[in-house]
Amino acid sequence: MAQVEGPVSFVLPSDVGIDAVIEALGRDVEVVADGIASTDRVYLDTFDGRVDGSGLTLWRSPSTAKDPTVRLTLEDRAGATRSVIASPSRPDRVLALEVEEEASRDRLESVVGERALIGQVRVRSRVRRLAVCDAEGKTVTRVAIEDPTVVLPKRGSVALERRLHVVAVLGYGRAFSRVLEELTGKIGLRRAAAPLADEAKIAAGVPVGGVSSKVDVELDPGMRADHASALICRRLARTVEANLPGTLADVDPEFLHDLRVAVRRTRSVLKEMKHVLPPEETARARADLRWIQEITGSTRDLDVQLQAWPVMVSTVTPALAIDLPPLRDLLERHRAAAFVRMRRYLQGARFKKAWASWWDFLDGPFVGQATVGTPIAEVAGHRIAAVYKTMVNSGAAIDDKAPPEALHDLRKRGKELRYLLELFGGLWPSDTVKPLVSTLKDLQDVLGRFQDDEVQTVYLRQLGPELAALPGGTDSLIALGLVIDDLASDQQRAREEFAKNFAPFAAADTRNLVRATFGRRAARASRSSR
Amino acid sequence: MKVLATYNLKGGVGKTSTAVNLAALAARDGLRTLLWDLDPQGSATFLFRVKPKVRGGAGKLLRGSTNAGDRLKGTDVEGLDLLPADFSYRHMDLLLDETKRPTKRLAKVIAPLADDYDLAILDCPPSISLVSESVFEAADALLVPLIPTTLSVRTFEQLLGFVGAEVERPPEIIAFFSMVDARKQLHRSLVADLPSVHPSIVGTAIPAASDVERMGVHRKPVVLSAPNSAAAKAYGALWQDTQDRLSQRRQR
Ligand SMILES: Nc1ncnc2c1ncn2[C@@H]1O[C@H](COP(=O)(O)OP(=O)(O)OP(=O)(O)O)[C@@H](O)[C@H]1O
Ligand SMILES: [Mg+2]
Repeated sequence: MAQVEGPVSFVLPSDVGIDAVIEALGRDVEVVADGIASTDRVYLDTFDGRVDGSGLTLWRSPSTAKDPTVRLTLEDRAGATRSVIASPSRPDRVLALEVEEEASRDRLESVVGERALIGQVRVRSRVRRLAVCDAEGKTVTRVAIEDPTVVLPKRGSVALERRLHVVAVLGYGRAFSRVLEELTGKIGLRRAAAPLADEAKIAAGVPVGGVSSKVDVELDPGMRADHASALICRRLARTVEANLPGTLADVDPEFLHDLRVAVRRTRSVLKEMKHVLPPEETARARADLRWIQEITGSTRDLDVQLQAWPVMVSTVTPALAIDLPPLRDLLERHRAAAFVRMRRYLQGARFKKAWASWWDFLDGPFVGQATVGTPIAEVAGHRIAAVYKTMVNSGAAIDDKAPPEALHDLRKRGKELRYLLELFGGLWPSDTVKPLVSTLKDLQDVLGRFQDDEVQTVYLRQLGPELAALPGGTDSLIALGLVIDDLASDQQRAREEFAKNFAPFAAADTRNLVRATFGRRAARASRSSR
Repeated sequence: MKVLATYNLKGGVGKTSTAVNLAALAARDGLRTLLWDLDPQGSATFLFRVKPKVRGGAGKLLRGSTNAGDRLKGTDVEGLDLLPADFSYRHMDLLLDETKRPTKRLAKVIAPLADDYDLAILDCPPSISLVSESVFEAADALLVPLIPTTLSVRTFEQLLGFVGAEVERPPEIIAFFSMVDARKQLHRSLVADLPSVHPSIVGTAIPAASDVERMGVHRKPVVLSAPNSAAAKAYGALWQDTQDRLSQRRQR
C-alpha cells in the first residue's frame, strides 16, 4: 500500500495564535474549521513498557461504571490507528486475550504476550481541527491543534504545551510537505521533542518506557567485590519492590516471576561472594531470601502449569481434550489458594521484618569491612571458571544410565553459571562471554525441559485422586494419563538430546576460552597490567 | 477483505449513490474501506472531490505495472480511501480482453490491498461486459439497485440467470428497490410484494429523495451531510441488511 507519511507534531508557543497558523497555511489554499472535539485518553502499556518498546501507542477511553467494555485504539509509527473493543474482566487492567476482534488481538498478543496492559497516564485534550483544502474543496492535509492536560489521580492536573499535529492524507504527499514547510518557514514552529504520551508520563512522574527488571549496573573490573555486589543487590532489591504491588494485586504472572528472579539472583550473589562478605549477616540474609523464595514457589509453579495449559491441551486429541476442563478447574482452584497463602505471607510481619533487615544489611555491614578488597573481576572470574569446570566434569559423567538427579544437579549448576554471567559478564569483552552464554543456553534448554517435564508429571500425577472424585473426573483422569504419557516421551527425547547440546558447551574451544578469560592466570595478567 | 460491488445493467438507477453512502457508513463503523470507481464518468470520484486522473491510466493498473496502492486517494471521510477513475477507464473492456484470464483480473488488481482494508466496494459502470464479468468474479456480493418497474424486474431475473450459470464463484446477490416514489401505486405494490417472490431482494427500499440528488451539489455522502434524512436512514438500513446477508453467507 502507498505509505502515508506519519503525522508530525509541533509545539505551538502561546504567542502564536491559531489565526497566525491559518494565515501561514492559507495563502493558496483554503483552511476550514472542521470542528472542536474533546478527547480523554488513558495511555496503556505493560509494566515493562512493551507497547512503547515496539513503537506503538495504545490508549483507552476512560471506563464508565455502566459500560464494562472499553474502546482501545492502537496507533503505529506511521500514525495509522485501529480501534477495537475489549471486555476486561477487571477494571485495573486489560489483557490482550480480552480484545474482541481476532486480528487485533493476535497483533497485541504478539507484542505484550501475557503481560497485562495497565493505565500509565490520563490526558484530556481539547482539539481544534482544521482542514487544508485544494481548489475543489477537497481536504489534502489535516491539521489539529491540541491543548492537552494531564489528569493526575487526586492531585489535580497539569497543562502541557499546546501542540499542532499535521496529518497527511493518502495520495497528497506534496500538500503535506508544503504545509510542513510553511509552518517551519513562516512561523518558525519547532517539532515536538517527544511524543505526547511520553511528555505526559514525565509530567505525571511515570517512567517512560516502563520499568525494566534488567540489572543495568555498570561495573568496573577493578571495583572491590563487596562494593560491586552491593550495587547489584540494591538494584535487585528495587526490582523486588517494584514488582511487589503487581504481585499482590495479581495483575499478571510476570510480576511474581520477575520478583522471584530478582530474589534468586540476589541469593546467587550472596552465595558466590560469601568470602568477601560478613559471614554471619550473609548467612541470615540468605536464609531470609530462601524463605521468600519458598513462600512464593507454589504460586509460581501453578502459574507455569496454567501457562503450559494450551500446549498440554494441544498434545491430546480433540476428543480427549473436551475431558480436560475439570483438571483446569482444579489447577485454578489450587492456584487461587496458593496465591492467598502467598499474599498473606508477603503482607505479614515476617516478610516486613526480613525485608527491613535486608536493607539494614545492605546499608550497613555489607561493605566497608576491610580497607582493601579483592577486585570483583577476580572473584567473579574465579567463580565462573570454577562452576564451569564442575559442570564439564559432572556433565561428562552423564550417560544413558545416569539417574535423573544427575541431570537436575547439572541444571542447578547451570543456573548458577547463568546468573554469574548475567550479573558479572559485563566485566569482560562481550565476544568472549557470548559464546559461553549461548552454548550454556542451549544446554539449559534441554536440561530445563527434562526437569520441567518431570516436575509437571509428578505434580499432575498427585492430582489424580482429587480429580477422580470430581464430576466428570474419571474421563478427565483418562485424558490426564495421556498428557502424562506425552510428558514422559518428551522427557525421554530431552534426555536423548542432552549429549548433542552438552558437546559444544564442553568442547575444547569453549574450555580454552573460559580458561583464557576467567582463569587464575587471566586474572593475574589483568591485575599486573593495571 | 470483503468485496462488494454495486451493479446494474441499467444506467442512472442509484449504483454510485449506494456505493458512496455504504462506503461512508462502513468507514464510520471503523472498517478500513476502499472504494474503487470503475466508471469512466468518474461519478464517485467527483462526489469525493478527487481529480479524475490516474497516472498511467487503466492500462498500467490492469497490466500490473503500477500498484493500485500507489494510486489511492484518502477521502474527506476518515477510514475511506478511493481508487479514482479517469477517462482511460472507457477502454477497460478492451484492455481486459488483452490480458490473460480477464475475468480474474480485477480481483488481482486489488489483491495486494487485502491486508490493508476490511472492505472494498466497486462501483460499476452500467453495462454487461468483460468489466462486469470480472467484477462478478471479484465480488463476494453484488448490490443491485432496482427501479420498481416490471421491466427492470425482468432484467434483474436475467442477471440472476447469468450469474448463476456463467460465474465460476457466484457472488451473493443483494437487490433492493431504489428511487421509490411512495405516491406511485405500482412502486408501492412492487416494493411490498416482490421481496417474498425473490429472496435476493431485501426489505429495505431507498426512497426517491432530493437529499440524494443534492449530493452532486454538496459533494458529500448524504449519510454525512443529512444523517437524519429519510434517505440516510434507508442507506443505514441497507448497510445493515448487507452485513446480515454476508454473515448468513459465511455461516452457510
Ligand atoms: N434515491 C434517489 N432519489 C433521488 N435521486 C436519486 C436517488 N438515487 C440517485 N439519484 C440521482 O439519480 C442520478 C443517478 O444516480 P447514480 O449516479 O447514483 O446512479 P448510477 O446507477 O450510478 O448511474 P450511472 O449508471 O450513470 O453510473 C443522480 O443524479 C442521483 O443524484
Ligand atoms: Mg454510477
